[in-house]
Amino acid sequence: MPRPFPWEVGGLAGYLVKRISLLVPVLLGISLVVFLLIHLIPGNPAQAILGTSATPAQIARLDQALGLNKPIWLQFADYLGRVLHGNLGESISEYQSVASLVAYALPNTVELAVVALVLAVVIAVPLGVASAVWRNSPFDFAAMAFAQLGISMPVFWLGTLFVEFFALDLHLFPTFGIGPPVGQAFAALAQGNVGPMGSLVSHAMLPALTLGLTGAAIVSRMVRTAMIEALGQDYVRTARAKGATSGRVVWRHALRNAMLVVVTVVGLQFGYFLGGAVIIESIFAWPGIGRLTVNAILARDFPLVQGCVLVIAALFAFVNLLVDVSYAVLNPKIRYQ
Amino acid sequence: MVAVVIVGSVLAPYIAPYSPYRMDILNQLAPPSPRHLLGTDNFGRDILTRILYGGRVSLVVGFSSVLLAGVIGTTLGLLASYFGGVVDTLIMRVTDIVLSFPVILLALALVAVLGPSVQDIILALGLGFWASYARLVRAAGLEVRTEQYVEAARAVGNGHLRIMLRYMLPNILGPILVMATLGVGSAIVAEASLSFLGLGVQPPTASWGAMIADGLRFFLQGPDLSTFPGIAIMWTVLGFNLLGDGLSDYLNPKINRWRRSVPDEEESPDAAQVPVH
Repeated sequence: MPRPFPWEVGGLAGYLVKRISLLVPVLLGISLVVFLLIHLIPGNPAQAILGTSATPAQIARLDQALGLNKPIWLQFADYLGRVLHGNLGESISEYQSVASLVAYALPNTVELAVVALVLAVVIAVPLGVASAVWRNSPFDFAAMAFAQLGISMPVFWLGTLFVEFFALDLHLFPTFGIGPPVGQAFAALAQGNVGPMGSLVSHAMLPALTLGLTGAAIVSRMVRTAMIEALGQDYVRTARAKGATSGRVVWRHALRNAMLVVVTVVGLQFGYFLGGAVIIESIFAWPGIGRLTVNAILARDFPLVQGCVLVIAALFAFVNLLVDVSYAVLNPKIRYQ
Repeated sequence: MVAVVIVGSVLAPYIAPYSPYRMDILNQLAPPSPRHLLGTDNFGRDILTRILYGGRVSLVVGFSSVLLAGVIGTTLGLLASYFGGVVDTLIMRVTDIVLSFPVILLALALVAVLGPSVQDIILALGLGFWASYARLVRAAGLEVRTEQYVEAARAVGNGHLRIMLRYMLPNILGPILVMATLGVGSAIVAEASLSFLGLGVQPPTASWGAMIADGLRFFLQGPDLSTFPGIAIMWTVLGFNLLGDGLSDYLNPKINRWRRSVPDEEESPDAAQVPVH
């Protein structure tokens, strides 16, 4: 009998191969959408980029430079080839390659999203667990009212309030800009110098808290639901019957099983933070890819817009993949479907 | 809550104390007073008036973009679940691709190329939001497709279109309605976000997001400029969220109130949708 292909095998390996191979059409589709963006511009894109004062010669030159005078499928093939070589084109407004601008901004956004994620988990997990344990108590109602408000609150308004509050009344955290690079801060910390790390954390605090609080609102609701479900399961009853303390039951038995939901939700939140970062970074002048995108749009710098959108969407797709994979690792039921 | 917003916006020309564009140069950035109940902005325009008028933009964009997204998503979801096979695979692949963009990013990119008019914002948000409806409708459609009444409808010789619209759609309308109600809130936040970034409805038209952006710009002179538009957005979104929750409880009385918000292991016809900010 011939050896089966990996995707014919059940179990984790088969699932992983299947799920990862799904990423290819998605990434192709993302690049197609991003490529087509520039063709959605009403009229001649080169004219739109250069403005109404452009001469026909300038337009013809930009057409040539962007390859807009070739058949569309050839343009897409060219585009795909360039992207695969890491060439995202030249920014019109910044006179630099799009790839270098994105490479500078992306780590800043990831840093922001990671800090926001940590804050969201630190706030949401205890809140959700406590709400589930003291279900229908005043604490539960207060916590869930907070969550409902947090979900309904536009993230940019929360950011605006933070800026106003901290800049006017409390001078606790800086309200704009970014601290030293992460690498430098860690290097200084290793030498016993706390300053750069402090500056890094304090600069990240407000934007991350803005993102993290809205995330915490969503995550705490999910944690509560998952915990209520877990606390009602037989194995929790068994553990209680065997005389485990209630703290042990909650943290060791129930939370461990509720973690499945938590991991999924937290992973998805990370993806949403990438979208939220687009707005938050503009408020706090955080030099990440979100602010880069917005500035590129305002400057009508379409190659830069394309590059940013492509990178964010690809990252989003990749995070979704990681979420699905970790879910499959944690939950054997998924793999055999 | 939702009713207050709708009545306030529809009746804006009758109940607003001023014109949304009337400038009171001597009263710029004034705090709330009997003359201007919620104060004035940097041009001396009445904030209460502009909130009432801004609500019209929010509601029009919210409802229209959800309608657009719902129609596209429902049509594709029905086609995918009814025909299955290649049609299904093709539609779901496209859906996957659209879902790999954060909605706000896709809307931003579309507005960037289309332009920031109300129609283009509606189009951009509609194109950003339809994929979740397609998923939901497909999952629900797959469940009802094998029901006996659908089989019976087919057996007596109904056409494809008639089966989909007369027999399948009415039976999956509930979750679609819930998702649409929650979706209005998300769309309003998305519109406000675009306006906040200066990429939405253009001044001098009143828009809640742009008013908050003004508040951020002039917060030293008028610290509460952004407070009231912010409350307006939160009130409206909270209203639609609670309405959606209530609708879902009404349609699904067996399910515990908070149970809905857990993502099910596989796609399920449950409108558990978290607002995307």
